[in-house]
Amino acid sequence: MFAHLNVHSTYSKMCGTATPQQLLTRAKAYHQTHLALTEVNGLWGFIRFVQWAKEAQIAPIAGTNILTASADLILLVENQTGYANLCRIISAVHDSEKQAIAPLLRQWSAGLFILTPQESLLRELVAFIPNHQLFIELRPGVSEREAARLARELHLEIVATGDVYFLEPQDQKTHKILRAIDNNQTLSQLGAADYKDERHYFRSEKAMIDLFPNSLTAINNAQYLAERCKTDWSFVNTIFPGQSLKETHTANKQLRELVYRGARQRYGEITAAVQQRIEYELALITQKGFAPYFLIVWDIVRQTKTTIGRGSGAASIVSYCLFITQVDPIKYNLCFERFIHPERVDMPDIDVDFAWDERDGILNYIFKKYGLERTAMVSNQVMLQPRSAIREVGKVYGLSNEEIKAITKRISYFYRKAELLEWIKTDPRFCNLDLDDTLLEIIQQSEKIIGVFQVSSVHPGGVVIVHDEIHKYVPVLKAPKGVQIVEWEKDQVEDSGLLKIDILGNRSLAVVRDTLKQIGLYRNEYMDYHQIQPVGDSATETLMKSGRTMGIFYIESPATRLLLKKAGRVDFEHVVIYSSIIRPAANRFINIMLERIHGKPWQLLHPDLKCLAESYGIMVYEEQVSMVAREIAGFGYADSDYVRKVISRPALAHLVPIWKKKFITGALSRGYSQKLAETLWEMIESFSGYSFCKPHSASYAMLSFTCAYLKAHYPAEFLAAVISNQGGYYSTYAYLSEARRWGIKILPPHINRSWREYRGHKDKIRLGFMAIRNLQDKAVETILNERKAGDFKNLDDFLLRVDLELADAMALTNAGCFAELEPQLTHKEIAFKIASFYLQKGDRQPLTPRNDRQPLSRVEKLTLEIESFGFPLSEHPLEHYLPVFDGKIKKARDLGQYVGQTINLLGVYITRKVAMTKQQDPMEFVTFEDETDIFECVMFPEVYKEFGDLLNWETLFVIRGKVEEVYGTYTVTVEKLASLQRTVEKMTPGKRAPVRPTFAEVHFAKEY
Amino acid sequence: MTTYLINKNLSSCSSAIIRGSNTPFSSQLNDGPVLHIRLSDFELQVERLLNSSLRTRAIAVISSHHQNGTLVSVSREALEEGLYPGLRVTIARKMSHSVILLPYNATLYNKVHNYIYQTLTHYAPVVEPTVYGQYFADMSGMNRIYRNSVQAGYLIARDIHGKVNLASQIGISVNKLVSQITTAVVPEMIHRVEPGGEAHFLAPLTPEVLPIATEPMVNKLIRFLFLNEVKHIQEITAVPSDGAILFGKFHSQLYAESHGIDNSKVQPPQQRDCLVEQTVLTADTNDEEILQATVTNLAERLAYQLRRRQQVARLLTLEVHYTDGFKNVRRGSVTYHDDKTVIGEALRLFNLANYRRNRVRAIIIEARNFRPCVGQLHLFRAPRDERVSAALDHIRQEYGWESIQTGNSLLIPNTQDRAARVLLKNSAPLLPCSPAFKPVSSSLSAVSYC
Repeated sequence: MFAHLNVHSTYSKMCGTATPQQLLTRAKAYHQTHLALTEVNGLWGFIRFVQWAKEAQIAPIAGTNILTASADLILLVENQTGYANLCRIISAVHDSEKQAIAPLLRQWSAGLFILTPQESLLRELVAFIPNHQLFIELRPGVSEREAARLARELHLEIVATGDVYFLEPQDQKTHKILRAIDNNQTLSQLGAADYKDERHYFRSEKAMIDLFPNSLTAINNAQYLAERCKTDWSFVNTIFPGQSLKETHTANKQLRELVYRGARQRYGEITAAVQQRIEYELALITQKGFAPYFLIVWDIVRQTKTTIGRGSGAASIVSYCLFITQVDPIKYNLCFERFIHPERVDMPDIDVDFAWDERDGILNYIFKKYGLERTAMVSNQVMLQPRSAIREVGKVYGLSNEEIKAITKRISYFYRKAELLEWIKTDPRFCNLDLDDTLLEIIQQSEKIIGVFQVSSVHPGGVVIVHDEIHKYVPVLKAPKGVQIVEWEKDQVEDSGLLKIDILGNRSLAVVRDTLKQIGLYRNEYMDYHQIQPVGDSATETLMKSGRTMGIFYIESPATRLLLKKAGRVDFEHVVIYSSIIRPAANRFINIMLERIHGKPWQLLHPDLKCLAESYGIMVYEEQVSMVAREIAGFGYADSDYVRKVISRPALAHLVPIWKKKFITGALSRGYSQKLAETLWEMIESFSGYSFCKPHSASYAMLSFTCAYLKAHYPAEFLAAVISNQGGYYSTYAYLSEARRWGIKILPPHINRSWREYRGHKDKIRLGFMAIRNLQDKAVETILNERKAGDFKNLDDFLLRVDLELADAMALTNAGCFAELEPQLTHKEIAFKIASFYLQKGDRQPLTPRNDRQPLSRVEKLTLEIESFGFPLSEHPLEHYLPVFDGKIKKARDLGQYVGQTINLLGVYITRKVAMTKQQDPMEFVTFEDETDIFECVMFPEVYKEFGDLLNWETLFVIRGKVEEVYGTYTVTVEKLASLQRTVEKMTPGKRAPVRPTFAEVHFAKEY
Repeated sequence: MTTYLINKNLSSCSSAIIRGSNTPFSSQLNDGPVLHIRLSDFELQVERLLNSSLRTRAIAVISSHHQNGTLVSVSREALEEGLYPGLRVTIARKMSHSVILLPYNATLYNKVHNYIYQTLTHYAPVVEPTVYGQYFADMSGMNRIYRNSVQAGYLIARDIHGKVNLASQIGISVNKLVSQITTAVVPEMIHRVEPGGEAHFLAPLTPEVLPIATEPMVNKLIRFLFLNEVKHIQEITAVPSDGAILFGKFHSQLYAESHGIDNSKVQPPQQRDCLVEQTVLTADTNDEEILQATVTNLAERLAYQLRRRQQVARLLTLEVHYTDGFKNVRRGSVTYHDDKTVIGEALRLFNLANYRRNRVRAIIIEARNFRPCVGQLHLFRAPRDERVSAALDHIRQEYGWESIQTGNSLLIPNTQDRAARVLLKNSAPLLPCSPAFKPVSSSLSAVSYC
């Protein structure tokens, strides 16, 4: 019998070519009972390996191949202590690759088996490691005779390994390519030490005997050793911070006190219903030992005011009373069982959003409080995908960027299929691609390396906290940006039972915070984030009904704005539904829902589907998937929850057909019709990619309502905060246009009145210094600091008080910051004073400006504005062109008058979204605005094919299209699209367009 | 528009298109005028010369097909489609599907450029070629041959048109600066700026016409201060204190240029001796062994040439040209001319230059700055290498170059074919069109313009 104890999979960074599943399948085919996965310096895919090994009924062994500058050895885990030591050793090696291995093993060798072929290392280790733990590794390339000699001399046993890097000998070329990619070399530049030869493939027992005919004992030893290794891995026992009885008791007590204190703040009087719900939840939390977890989240959340709990945690009254979430689960009927269920075995997670600019501070707090010993961030494992695989292999073969792009530009960023060659040969997109031998080989090799682990990066918000020492549970390393991360990505972290808290940055929370701050500053109205009651406010509902939600969290995209307008119902429950149903695969169901909202009679697909009654008989929330699976297919709680995961996680996509079959079989066996089962499964599949549970949507809807409330009552302050936080869906230009539509005056930057950020007050927004291009932060800081001593009286006062670099002073001048300070001077005179002052050396004195009383022309002013801010400020970009058209065009605000007619419009590009028709033809939704209103356009495939490219470089357009009306909303179906500037040039030969922005300036609108 | 006029009217050469600022035809050649001859859109004109079907089509010459490639020259028809010089090729392709994008054919332009230079040398004693399609001619002392500079200019334009059918513009003034600006801004075929009228001529023009305006600092200030005409610069630099504060070290040059003062001389092209060994690989490759063998072979040939001249090269330049049009250059020197030294240096330079993984298309080794090889023996240097080289030279002189070679030459594909080494000059169309690519005139002892 033989078991492989030195095996590298695709999780070994740019080394292994076989996936763990392929290795397990091959081991099974060779009738091997055990398999050790020994990735280079890590346990990168260990959790997945254990899961897959269980499916393949192979005993999984934890191990690693420590590879440093001086050592090459295999460590295998004998028991839990060994696992902890293994994680510690790997972490130490991550800290320094020059780390000597012997001192580490002297400290942490308990519970580990050590195998190495290196004589010097063996001689060093044999001094302090007993011979039942230390073995001579006989791997391909090692002489049997030498191994035997060493065994005799050191009194150690020999264990044979395959030192596997690929499945078959012919895969060695793929391995070489990976090494070349990793070393940034070509194949011919690789040295012999940089890669493994053809012998390092996955051998059967017989092949091992052929390789080492004189070492049968060593081959048998591999099996004996494998049987001594730990293989009964279980991750059910969640690792909590603070596990002792005393700590748990204290935590339970503290949690109860905090929850009741919070309940009094939230509800005033604690009613029987509230108390009953609190008691129910506390009982479950206590029973499952989750109290310390809630306390940690509570501790983190109280570091700041504006937070929002997301995910299923929002269904908990305990979270609500701890101010972790902001939605009252009783009032909005949120089901706690989606969060913690008596049968649920895995760890529930509470994800919390913080203002984007406070997130780093929160993470610092966590690291400071719990220390590097106990805390690390979750990592992202970057795997080679079709595009990156072709790019990297192409480089190894010496292809130029252009040659590589000829292929990769035809592959979508999201394309994940592995059968590249077959696809490229058959897909019409590649019909004119000349597949010569080199290209053919590149594609074949690329196909083989898809899914290989390339590099790990930092997850944006996942933090792992343990109660004692994190190195015991998972190897940690330092990411390039200096943060400590664990080796596993979020799914493996979750499945390993580690406590993960998602600390995510949210720009809208910062918008709310900044709006409240401005209201307090300028209106002397103090508002508490937790006390705002936006639901039921009539102004807020009117705003939402009209779809004027630009800038409002989660409901500002053109699609959602149209949905709000079309639906016409914007109570909290409906907005929660809209937040959930806006997802790529659910378009068909949105239309069905709209019909039903507008009164079309409907009934449930089956009387047993009562869980869908609240959402017009359509599956909207994640938990409805589980409920339907339980109700119709008869799944248990665990299975029904797993179906939900399978659908929403791309990593589990391969399981979808299996679960579909299970679902349909289950439904049929319970007497439901085939048609019903298939219709329901179609609804379930619309959740693929991403979807939300009701508590999560409710939580987000609450933030949407809060933002809408602020916009309805304090539009200037709100929109200024939206622009300052740079987090919205649209560009700054689009938000300023929106502000104008709200009757808000946009003021240019002013040296005494502007701040770093945009500031709004009643009906005015003042541009902040951040709006000025080419102005450095330190200059802004200098000005704001100096202004603390009092406003600048005039330009001379500014010059004498503020020492700036000339470029900054020029940027301020061009942005018009001094115009109001020196109204008697022209722009050119101010420019002369600024330049002549800052260019003086030694003692500077303001000079008298040369007499140039000519003010800037309109064109010069617009040019300066575009240079300074990226968009014209003093007038609408279309204003110049209007006289040319002289009544031949219609206005966006009058669209309602032209329903069914084909009209011409002028438009500034705002945003766009490409979509695919059922026939997989690309089409596009484009948003434009004119000086009267914003409007939505649709470009169907034929028009998109003809005019779609124009959107890539033009910003101002003449649009010809037919006005359509659906549920009171107007859209324009584009028939023709033309560049406004080119049209004007053609209409007025000999005259150039008044302001012709250069290409770089054209795209002031943000693209998505 | 100018091109059109010239093509239509050159045979009759009406006086309407020959204008001067003050008194046309009055100037004599004893005032030492400088002519600037400009063939506008040179690359386009040359392309259309070769392919008449392009004459009415929208065309643009591009620097490279690479993603950062830009339009170098754009025809009027292409301009009407919204394209303009400097636009990225990728964008241009999207903006206009009908425009024909022509690769930058440096070899062709070089040939025509040189031919026109040779033509001009018949009219003036000193001619200075600058960029493609532009030349200065110093007409000092030519008053006995031509009636005046305008007539000389007319004859030149007619000759160019007659020989290569290309339209040219000619600017005449007392210095290179004003002559060059004249051809850039005046649409007429010939324009003369009278001596003393330079400042007046320049005053209404935009400051961008002044060469110093390309200096980033100067350009930035000109834009910031809204100095929209040269007149404004003349005014501001006329006050030395203000001018010095604002423009610092550029003040005096800006003053001179804005007033049309330029003392630089028209200079003939300098000749410089150089040795060039180069090859275009039979197939693009990034195989290190083949590339090293190729470099070795080229260096061996260069060393042989150096030994024949009894010289060493203080400047050894190695260029690696890649499939995608990029090239990397490294420079070094050799103080001995034996094979080992030259090959060693060439390989060192190659390893430094070839840090990309792209396939290599061509390799060039160029030697310059020659010095005699002194026979002084080095204290720690064995004379063996020199003796080996001398022995090899002897064998090759007796039995030919191919009679004895280094072993790795066998790695080079089609070794037999390589006997007829591909000169880059002849094979340049194989290379991607990069304006940076420099054609050379000979493989052995070459003369090039510097």
